[in-house]
Amino acid sequence: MDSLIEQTPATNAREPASGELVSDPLFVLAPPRSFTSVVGTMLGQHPQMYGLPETHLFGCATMAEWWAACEEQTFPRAHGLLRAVGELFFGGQTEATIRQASGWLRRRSHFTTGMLMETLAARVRPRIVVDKTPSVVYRVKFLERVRDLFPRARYIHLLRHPRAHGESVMKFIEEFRKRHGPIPESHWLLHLCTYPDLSPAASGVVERSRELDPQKGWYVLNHNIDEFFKSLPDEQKLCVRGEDLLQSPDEPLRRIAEWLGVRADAEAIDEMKHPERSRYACFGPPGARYGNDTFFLESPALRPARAKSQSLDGPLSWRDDGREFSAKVRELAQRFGYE
Amino acid sequence: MNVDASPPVPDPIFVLCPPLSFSSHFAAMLGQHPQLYAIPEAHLFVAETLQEWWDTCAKTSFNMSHGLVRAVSELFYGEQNETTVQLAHAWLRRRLPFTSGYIIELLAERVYPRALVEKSPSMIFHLESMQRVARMFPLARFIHLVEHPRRHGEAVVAAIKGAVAHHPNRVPQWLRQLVCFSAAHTDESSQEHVELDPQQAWLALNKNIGDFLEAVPEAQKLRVRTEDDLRDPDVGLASITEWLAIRSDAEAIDAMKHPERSPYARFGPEGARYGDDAAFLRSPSLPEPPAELDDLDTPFSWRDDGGGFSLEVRALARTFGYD
Repeated sequence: MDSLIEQTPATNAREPASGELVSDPLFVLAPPRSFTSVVGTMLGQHPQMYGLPETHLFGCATMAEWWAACEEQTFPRAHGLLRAVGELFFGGQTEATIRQASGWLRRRSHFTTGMLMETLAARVRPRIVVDKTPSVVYRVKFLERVRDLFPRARYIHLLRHPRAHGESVMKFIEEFRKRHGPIPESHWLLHLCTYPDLSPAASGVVERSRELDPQKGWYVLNHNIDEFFKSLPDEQKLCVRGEDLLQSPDEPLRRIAEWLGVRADAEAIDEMKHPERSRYACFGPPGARYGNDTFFLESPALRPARAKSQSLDGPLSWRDDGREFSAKVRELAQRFGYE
Repeated sequence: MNVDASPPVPDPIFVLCPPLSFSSHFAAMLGQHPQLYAIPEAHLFVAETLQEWWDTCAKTSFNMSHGLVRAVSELFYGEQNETTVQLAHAWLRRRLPFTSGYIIELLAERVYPRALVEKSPSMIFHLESMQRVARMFPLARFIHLVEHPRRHGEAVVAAIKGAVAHHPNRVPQWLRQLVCFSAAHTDESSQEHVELDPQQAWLALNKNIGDFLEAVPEAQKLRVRTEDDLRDPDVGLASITEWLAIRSDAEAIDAMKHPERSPYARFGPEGARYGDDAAFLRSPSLPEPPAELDDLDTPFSWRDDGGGFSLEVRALARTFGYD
């Protein structure tokens, strides 16, 4: 066994001291299956930024609540944060460091989730933390919690065409069934495509729709972000179409870098075009395998082909009644620049 | 960026054993190793948070807070006196929402690069307390310190007789529970007469530890017999230091043979007098080894009905290597 003693202290492993300035993070907001894994990771590869896996912090006020939520979820909610803490505080992602990370997080059950994020941000300083947890967009109050805890944070609303989004959700469901069998009704994937209607309150409705129609989830979650954006100053928010960014990344990445006030030179832009170089762009060790979209973990390199153009017209492939997008979905999508 | 910084403070070493099992001397010995640091009994893991711990301290029949207050005085204020004890109380009050594990982490960080040794017997009364330790410190090492049930029983009987002689109506609940182990004797205010039968506590508490350790990986646990360390401390202590992968040279082992050099090996100041077994605080030097081997067959010295160890106690004692 390795010596306990022959280690030197990580004097900066503790949360930041009062008055220490840590840059407020950059949050990438989007419904699940909206390129968040690849885009969040790309941004995190910028030499002045650091992309985290999905932390799922801000659905909860404290870490004690976060632990309780992790124990109730149908997906491995804790994995992303365990991987980040293993990597940042224990020097890597192994079975042993994931266990250490678990203890470290348990001991911080009294922290607010914002304090935990601040501790991570202090650890990677002077790089800016990039968080891209889709669960935060399920309630406007979660987004407001982020704003209250990080009033100077910047936000990117990452957009995806509702047709491509819906097809991606349905493909993921099919793939899940192939690999794991029937999906539990409470699973987030089914939740995403069984919204009963297009009202913001639909997210909390227990009685789900029986038909699978992901356009409703697309609408409600993007509408949540849209509403939240109204409360933000212009300089703190940016809308980016994922398709533009993936098809021809240089210009959108340069625009984002300039908006953030970080380096926008060719070298920095090139770094962002290699999400596969992230320490989190692979499956993690036992105890924390995921922390990101499975497809991304399997194939993390930038693939422009998957961002092909789509139309708002025409029947929806996931319905057999020939119906098209609802008027509200079309209207919101058009406002985002989709046709 | 700070991501290349070295690993943080290692998880502590926990000594698990029933009260009055030589643990005060043993932990103080470990703590005298130049790469280790033993704190007095902090009793933190009976609670999830320091607030819960604080509330529990107010209800117990013994001075549960003294050990942690002494440790905070010594480690954060440089010494143990009435003033630093006051400061330590305030330091703890300011941290009431913290988890108990986080408090231990703060102490461990303070003694770094020495590794922290903790030995509060209170944590072995409930599986949940030990599981809390493992949850908060998944790579912690655990030393199960065992003692012959006869030697332990005699220590318990001597302790209760001493307590009754001094304050017949204020015998601590934990001591009454040790003398006659039963869930019925958990009422702090009860002072009813109980029959002397310390073997039950020895059995139940060592079984608790055994049950907990079943889920702990082999590399993280070690069983130590107190008698072995007393009879041949050089060999016994060296085997422990080798297991911990720390210095095993003569100088390090010799330091461990002087538990009396610990800053906690004496009574503390007003407001934090204890924090450890009173017998240890009175006489902290390494005790003499037992003159003769204990056995499992002779009737109890503390009863006059010829009673002896139950089959279950004998069976468990034999798994520890006792005859």
